[in-house]
Amino acid sequence: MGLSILAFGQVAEITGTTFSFDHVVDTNALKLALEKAFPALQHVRYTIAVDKNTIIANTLLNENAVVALLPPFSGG
Amino acid sequence: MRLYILSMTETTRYERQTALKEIGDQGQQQLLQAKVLVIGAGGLGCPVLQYLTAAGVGEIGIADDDVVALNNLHRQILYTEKHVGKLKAEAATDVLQRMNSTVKINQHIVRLDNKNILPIIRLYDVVVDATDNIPARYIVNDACYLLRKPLIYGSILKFEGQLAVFNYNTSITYRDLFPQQPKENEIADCNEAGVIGVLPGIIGSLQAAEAIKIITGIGQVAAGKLITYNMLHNSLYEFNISANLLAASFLPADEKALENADYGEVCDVFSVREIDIASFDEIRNLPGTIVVDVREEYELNETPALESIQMPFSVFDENMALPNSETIVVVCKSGHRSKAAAALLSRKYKNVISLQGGLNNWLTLNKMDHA
Repeated sequence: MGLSILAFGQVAEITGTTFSFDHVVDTNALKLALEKAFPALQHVRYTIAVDKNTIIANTLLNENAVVALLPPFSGG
Repeated sequence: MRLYILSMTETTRYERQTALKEIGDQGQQQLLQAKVLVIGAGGLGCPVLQYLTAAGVGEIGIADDDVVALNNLHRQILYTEKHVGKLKAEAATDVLQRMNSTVKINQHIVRLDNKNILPIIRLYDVVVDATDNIPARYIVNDACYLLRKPLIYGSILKFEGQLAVFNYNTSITYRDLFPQQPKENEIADCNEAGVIGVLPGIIGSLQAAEAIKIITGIGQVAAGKLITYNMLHNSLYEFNISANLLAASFLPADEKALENADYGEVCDVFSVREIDIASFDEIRNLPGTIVVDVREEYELNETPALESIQMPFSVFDENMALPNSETIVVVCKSGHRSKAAAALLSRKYKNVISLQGGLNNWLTLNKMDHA
């Protein structure tokens, strides 16, 4: 089992909305791995949530963690 | 709250919602006495205004300085062709008063900014963010934070929307979710990205529902939660927004700070000074230097021991007492958390610097020196 990723908004336009990703140890490593796989992500700002909670620091990832990539939207 | 008996007309008019035992006459009285400010009378603002007016919210403020354009009509469903070219606040008032003449509607025909927003927000109990641009969202958030007003946030992009409630039974604000204001060019807006009219209709309706829940005290309000909706996939997700220390470093300390802040183009927050590896190695063992390590416990074995005060970022306390020093160097793994922590410490201490590139960088360069 790998990580389940949910992507939203501008991030999803780059990565697709849901996908599996090889497990990495923590969110910093995930960010680097994602940016390597999808270089355009380097230019998008997003908040990360792990198992439904937004994170505020590097966070360890369980084998089956669900990670969400949440960019801000401005439209109204 | 002062309660009064509903009039015959009010009883008839609202009987289908007072029939709900959760609302009842008391809930209707609360609605009739509530004051709600809707900032932005566009795609999100229209359904919010319509449903709150219909529900009998006593006083509604409309803050908008824009005029109705023909290409607004596909989603801003309060307006008709005859309103094109007219001020949205006036056109909306015209339609809403015909819908419910008993609601008091205040027009604030002004572009709210950080210098004029506070006196307007003060007049209301609940604020709805139905704006369409990033600086406005941060200004509204920061003003509501200062005045402790419940803020119902909604935003959209193409087929997706976000909903959250801030400053209500929790101190979570928009900055806990997105601490630093991105530059305008980092975010696509509706004008460029396109939007199907029904999407702001759905998100705006959710905002109106949160307003009614807050006013009447029923149900579970999305306080401190981010709800995302995708119209194409019919998917709805809910996330808990964690309190973020970075938010504290960006929120205005007081009303003056809000007025003086630059939301037009907020530069890199971190006006924090950084120190390079060579200079760090020169000063870190000097008697006047304190090193504060903000890494988490599980990261500590990744570098050789360094004389430092441990204060993991997840439990960082900006008011912690530090020994007297000439210089405080804050370090972490990659130099990001240390910058944020240094920004917080700078409020209390002088000469706080952050280690550029973090201990990862320090380790790499020191290994190279030894090789």
